[in-house]
Amino acid sequence: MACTRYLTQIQEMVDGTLGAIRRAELEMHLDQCEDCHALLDDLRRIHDAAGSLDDLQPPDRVWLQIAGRLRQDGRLAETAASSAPRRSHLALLALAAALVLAVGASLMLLWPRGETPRAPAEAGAGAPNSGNPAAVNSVEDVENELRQAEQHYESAITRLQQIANSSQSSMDPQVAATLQRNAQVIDQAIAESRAALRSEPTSAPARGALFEALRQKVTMLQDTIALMNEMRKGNSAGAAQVLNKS
Amino acid sequence: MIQRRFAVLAAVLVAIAAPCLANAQVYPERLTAKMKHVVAAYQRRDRDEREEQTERTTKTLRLGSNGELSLGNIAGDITVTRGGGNDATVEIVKVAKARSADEARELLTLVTVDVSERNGRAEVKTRYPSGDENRRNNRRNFNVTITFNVTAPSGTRLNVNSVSGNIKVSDIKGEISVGTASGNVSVTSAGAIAEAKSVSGNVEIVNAQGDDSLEASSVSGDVTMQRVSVRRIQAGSVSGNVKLEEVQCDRAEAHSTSGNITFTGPLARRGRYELKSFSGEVHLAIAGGSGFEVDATTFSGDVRSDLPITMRGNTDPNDRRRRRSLSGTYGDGSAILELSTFSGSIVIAKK
Repeated sequence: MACTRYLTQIQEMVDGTLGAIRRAELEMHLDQCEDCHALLDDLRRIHDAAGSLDDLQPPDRVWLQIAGRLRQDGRLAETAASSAPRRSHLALLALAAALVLAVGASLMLLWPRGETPRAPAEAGAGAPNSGNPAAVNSVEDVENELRQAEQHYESAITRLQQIANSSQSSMDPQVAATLQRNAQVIDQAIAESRAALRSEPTSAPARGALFEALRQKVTMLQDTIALMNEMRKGNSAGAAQVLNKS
Repeated sequence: MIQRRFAVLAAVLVAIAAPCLANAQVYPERLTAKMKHVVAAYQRRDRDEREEQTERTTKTLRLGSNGELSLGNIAGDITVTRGGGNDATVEIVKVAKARSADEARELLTLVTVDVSERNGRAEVKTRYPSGDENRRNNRRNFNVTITFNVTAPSGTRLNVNSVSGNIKVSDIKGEISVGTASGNVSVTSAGAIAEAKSVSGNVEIVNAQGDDSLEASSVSGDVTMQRVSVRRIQAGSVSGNVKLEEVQCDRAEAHSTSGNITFTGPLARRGRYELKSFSGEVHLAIAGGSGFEVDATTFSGDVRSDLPITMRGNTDPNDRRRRRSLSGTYGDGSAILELSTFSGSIVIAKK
């Protein structure tokens, strides 16, 4: 299994965003670690395959329906229906799916040997597909897909939270306290935006705020777990690096 | 010294108590026990570890004018400044505290600094005894800090990490990556900064010019950039403010959950600027004459622009929704602004 501290760097290498120093460091590690090398190859194959996929083209009526809803809300005047909403919700689903993959990787690394980890998506059971969304058919479908994305986030958060809670003793108390305190700040944001969505279900700012807060929570939990993992291995310097690279 | 110790103790108590409030409703007895345990531990440590021993060594590293230095520390500050010539010098100051002078001296020998260099690359790493070694020596805590004072050639590429301690870098023009879990990060008069991060401290970058991306973040501290010119800026904090002052970039992404976001500087043609906060304010003061296309939304705050914006969509000034969102164009509309906050307000002004 690939080493936790290099996961982000491997992803950045595939994306082509890794800086020179960290690239050199990663390449040295890849020369010695077959697992990480295999992960890099896999991610590159996925990246290349995703790049060759055709764009999904939903029927025109979908945009007319969305435009109608936006006009009812006073959010759209005379302009033509934009493709932004489509990109927006597909991007959210893609982001959620990517998060689930990332969370899965974290779970694989942290799970005690001999046990088989369940994919986080299973926790949200019933659970909606984590792959590409099917063609969009109505405004309700768009909302359903957004709900699915939220469920992916939630199941990921639940799983990560369980791991974080069970391993907290391995972390420096001051850093743990800071992370906990800020996790509560994010929880508050999630709660407030959910309440706002209940009062105004079509509010784009409320929905955007909810997804941003969920995304931040997942990121923070992933960082926390990576840190704990390094601390558990007794590698404090590696722990600092995990946080700093995240 | 005593005041400082009590300040540290108070900070630890606050840090532990604050996040545990929610848990306290469920496990109040555990919270109380944990606090008592921490108080007792710190009191014991203050009472017992009065003897201090210091050891200073200096290493010279042959990096060349564009070499690379990686430095990893556990506890203690790190300062890197520009030096003359092609060598880097690393002053290592170890300070150990214990119940007796002998024990403090022994601690100095147990915590080591590994230094290796090859072909213009050097690695300096603090090493504390492993868990197994601690068990063999019947030790649990090592009250040893190591301070690094480094001078390096201006073109040195730096990768500096610490678990606990402040990091200061100045006048280094090679690519810089710095981060600490607990401490402040300060980088001044720099070239390319790849990353500057802290978990529980502030991050400050002053006077930096580079051609690439700059990523700066903190979990609980402020992130501040002043007079920074790079291609792309990514800056974020959960509970701190993000201040981008007199910055120039083609793309800026700044976010905070409970802090404010401030941006002052010119906008690049075809530049993109995304500033998001949850409960903080978003404030832009735009320098120069660049036009922009803006989408600004807030759920319960207000959106205000001091610049005359040609509105899209709902233009009724009395409409409640109108005050909470603003979509339109100013000037040639060549840059894109995406501004959002949930419960704060958004202000667009001219600098």
